[in-house]
Amino acid sequence: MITKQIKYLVLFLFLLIFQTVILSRVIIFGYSFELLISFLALVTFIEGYENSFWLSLIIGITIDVLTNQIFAFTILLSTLSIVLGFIREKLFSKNDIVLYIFVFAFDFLVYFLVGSIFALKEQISIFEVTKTSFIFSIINLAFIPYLTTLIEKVVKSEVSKQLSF
Amino acid sequence: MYNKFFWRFFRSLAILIVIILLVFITPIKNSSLIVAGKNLLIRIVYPFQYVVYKSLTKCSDFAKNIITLRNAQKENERLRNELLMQRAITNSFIGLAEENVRLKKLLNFKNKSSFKYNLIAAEVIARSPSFWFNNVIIDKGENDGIKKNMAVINEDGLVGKVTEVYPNSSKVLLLIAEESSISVIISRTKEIGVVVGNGPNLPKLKYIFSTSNVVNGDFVETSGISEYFPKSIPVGKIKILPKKELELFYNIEIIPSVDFNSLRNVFVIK
Repeated sequence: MITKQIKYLVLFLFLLIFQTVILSRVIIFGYSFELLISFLALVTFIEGYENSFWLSLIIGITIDVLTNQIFAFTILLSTLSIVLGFIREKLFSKNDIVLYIFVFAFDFLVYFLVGSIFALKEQISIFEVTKTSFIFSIINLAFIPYLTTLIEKVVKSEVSKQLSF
Repeated sequence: MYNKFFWRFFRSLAILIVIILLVFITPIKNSSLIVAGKNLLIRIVYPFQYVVYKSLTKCSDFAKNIITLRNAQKENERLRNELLMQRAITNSFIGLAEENVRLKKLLNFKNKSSFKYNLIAAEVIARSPSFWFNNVIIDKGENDGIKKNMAVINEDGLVGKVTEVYPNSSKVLLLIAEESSISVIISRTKEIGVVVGNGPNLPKLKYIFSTSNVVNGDFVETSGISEYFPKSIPVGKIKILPKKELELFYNIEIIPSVDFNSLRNVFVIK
């Protein structure tokens, strides 16, 4: 279990560097890709909310530090991770359609909730926030197959390790 | 089974509530522990970002070196950096030159302007992981003479302001960031307003009265009122949006003079 957590941490660090250094320079009509939120959504979906809770804290703290917001993303991501993960486990099965909808909903809620705070402060219209959040959530879906492959490699390597014992 | 399930759920929720209470009840945000934690995280992440960025740029430069002569490439880079620096300085003089002519015409007044920039060249290594917060990391820090609140420009105009400084890197809040707010002046009409960032949308220029004769395409530059931004740094061009009938102020967007999608070389004003 601990080695799986370390593997997720390493994967997170790789995605953080990849996003901030390389992917941030790929801008399409003013929008860029964001992998970290989608990564957390996928781990929550595959591993369950309890196992992804610690990862949501780490990702939240990292984004807070890099964006100079203390505990905003930490609270938001960990809350969404628990709530949406709980809803998914109780109500929905694990299949590809639910996976995409779950990741989309997770991303959309994060962007929308953060954007709404700015909408209140700077009098930006809620329509703009909704549109921006929707577009970002759609764009991030493009990386789901690759992220899923990476996460499943971590899961499978742990399963094969347990079986060999 | 359900008891165990709900116990796990409420345990996670309890940890979350404790964190929320810690954040809002205790003055934890600016505590030395949090600041130390932030510095530690940046020190862990930044070297990886620096290595990946330099590797990428080295690879792309290597490909260029295959085609061109090695010495010619180095000389080209040196001259380019020097040219970018000179353009940044020259742009700032445009506003001053116009003001000089205007004052001379009206008052027969000699403009004594000792306008000097001391620039520190830097490269943008990484960007923020969240698009709602537009900031970048540059490869110069405290050891290079960078201080908090220093203005950052490039050859096209104002980029932003240094908000956090680490030993070998700094965080720069971009002009387009939601939290950004800069005092500016319209070059032609001399009206003063405030440019606020708007995330992925164009920044907005606020507090220009609807009775003003501002037009589309008017240039906007820093006003010099703020202690952080020197005067006459280009900010962008005006784009007037339709406004409602009884609104007091124009609804104006700014087309930034800087291309924030392809920031690479910047200069910090010392």
